[in-house]
Amino acid sequence: MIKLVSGDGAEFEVEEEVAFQSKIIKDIVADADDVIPLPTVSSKVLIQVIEYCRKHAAVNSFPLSPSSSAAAAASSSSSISYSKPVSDPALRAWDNEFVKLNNSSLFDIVIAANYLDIEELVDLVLETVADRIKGKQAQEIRRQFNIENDFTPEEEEALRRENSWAFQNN
Amino acid sequence: MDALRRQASKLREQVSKQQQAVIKQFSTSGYGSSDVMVIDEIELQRHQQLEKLYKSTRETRRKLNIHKSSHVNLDLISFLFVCLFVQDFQKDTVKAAEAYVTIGHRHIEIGLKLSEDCYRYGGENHATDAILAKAAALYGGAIRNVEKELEDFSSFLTSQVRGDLLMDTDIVALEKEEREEDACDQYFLPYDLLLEIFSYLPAKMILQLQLLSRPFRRLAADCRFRLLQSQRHLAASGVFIVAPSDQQLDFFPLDNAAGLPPSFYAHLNVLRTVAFFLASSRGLLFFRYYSYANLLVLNPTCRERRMLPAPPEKGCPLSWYNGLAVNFLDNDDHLKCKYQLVYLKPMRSSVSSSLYQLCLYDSADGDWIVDDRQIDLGSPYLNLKNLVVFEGSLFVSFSSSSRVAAIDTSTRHVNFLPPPDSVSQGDEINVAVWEEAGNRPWLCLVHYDRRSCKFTLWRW
Repeated sequence: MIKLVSGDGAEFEVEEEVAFQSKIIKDIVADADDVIPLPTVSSKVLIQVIEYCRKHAAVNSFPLSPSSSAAAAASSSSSISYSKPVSDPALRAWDNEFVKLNNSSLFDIVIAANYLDIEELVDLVLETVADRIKGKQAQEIRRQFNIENDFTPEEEEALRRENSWAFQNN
Repeated sequence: MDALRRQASKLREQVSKQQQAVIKQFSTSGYGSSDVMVIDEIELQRHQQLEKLYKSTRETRRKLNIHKSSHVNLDLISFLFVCLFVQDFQKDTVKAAEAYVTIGHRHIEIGLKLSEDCYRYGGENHATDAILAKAAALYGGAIRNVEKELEDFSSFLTSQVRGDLLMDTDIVALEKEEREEDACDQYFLPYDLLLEIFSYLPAKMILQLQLLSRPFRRLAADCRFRLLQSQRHLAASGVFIVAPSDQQLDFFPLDNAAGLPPSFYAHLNVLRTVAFFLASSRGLLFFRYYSYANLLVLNPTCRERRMLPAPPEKGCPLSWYNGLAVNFLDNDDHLKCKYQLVYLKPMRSSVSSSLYQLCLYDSADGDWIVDDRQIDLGSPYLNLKNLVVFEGSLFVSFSSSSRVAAIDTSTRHVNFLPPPDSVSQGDEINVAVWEEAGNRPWLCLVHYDRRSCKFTLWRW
């Protein structure tokens, strides 16, 4: 068991394979003790991250059944078959439920996951946020991400003209 | 005697320390210090502001009432205008009152602390310094009374503000909503995470997002970012070419949001007079110049171009076919993209040769390497059409046949794969690697039916 201590002092005991979803923790444990302080991660966020790691550790430890993608093969006599596992649909569904949070919670998680180096979780959250941005106008995105518009109206107009095709709907 | 004197001086020291502490307390929280003066000034200002606002609100309200009661010429627009006016004043009034109450609370807090300290001083030093202790205790009691009065006044004001002024408008609700929205919708993310998020967006949207701010304009122009974005989008936003063999290039952007500037098609027609199309991968187009030994890599969405050395063609004329495969090597660092180019080079000068050699270009080395081993494709009239590298094998489709050849890149063994049953003679068959986020890439066969003009994607 590995003990994780959040920024607000709460302690969480997790199994090695759960904690090792984080590459940083894996590296730390290799040459230090089993109590790991995580001063920049609040307990609220840490609970969510551990929940994710627990789920993924459990799924990854079972070998996947042979991929069903071969069944969709175009040619039955093909000599090519897939040996590598595709991602588990049940896990993807679970991930989709996991990210049903508001943006600020997602941002807290992604900052923590980035710090802990849990690549899959970082990618999952960033893609979710990107999906929420898709199709939104610049003004809306500026507001959401606190981005200051430092173009003059003339410059903005020139940029708009330069790539006018990108602003047409089709 | 000595001991007695020591004790006396110790006592004196203690008393003087305590006196200093009291003076300090008085000067930091008692009247007459500059700190409190500031509070008082703000208080006064707030009070004046409050009074002014209250007066003007009453004035406006009175006017409104006159309008209402007289029922003459009450223009709807001016009525609404006045309503807005009143609301605005009320909002300001409420704000001022709230600020006043907040300052008042701080004042009370300080005052109570002072009175407590005075009491304590009085209790502790009753024996040593009777007069000062008594004064302090009295002063403490007085302060407490004053602060209590002030607290009563503050709570009364608060209830007035909340009760009367806000009953007829929903400013509080509105403001609360505003505040909540601001609080949960604005965050600061590190720049590298923002970069990652934006790399998931389609190219067309990236162009729109250049308008966000100058840093984002720079980000969108950064070639590392563009490569990452193009990697993320892979086949989905890429350009698929249907009939490259007869030099009539047909581009089909598979993702509508990816888009291509209309000017690109005109640009392409010009380019075709000087260069020959070789391959497309991850939204990038690879051409070879007719007149000089260079490959051209073109990103059609942002019209960016790069030059690479062309495969060596010593001793034989340049062969014009689409014999180039691009293999992006995945590595941990998305921003440092490594790739390989694989070129099938005909062995003899005649186009009718069935023997080929593999040429490999590694982005890390920046140079071409020719493999001496021969690859026999069996028939000399195959007309190679497109090459794809996938999991250690090289897949080739032909314009003369609907079969696909799989060449093992280590053993050079050639294996022909039959097409799906529904493919009829003359249909277009292309091999492609389908990559989508979150899933392993898979090899697919893109079948274009000329009669029905339909695409079918076959998955191996």
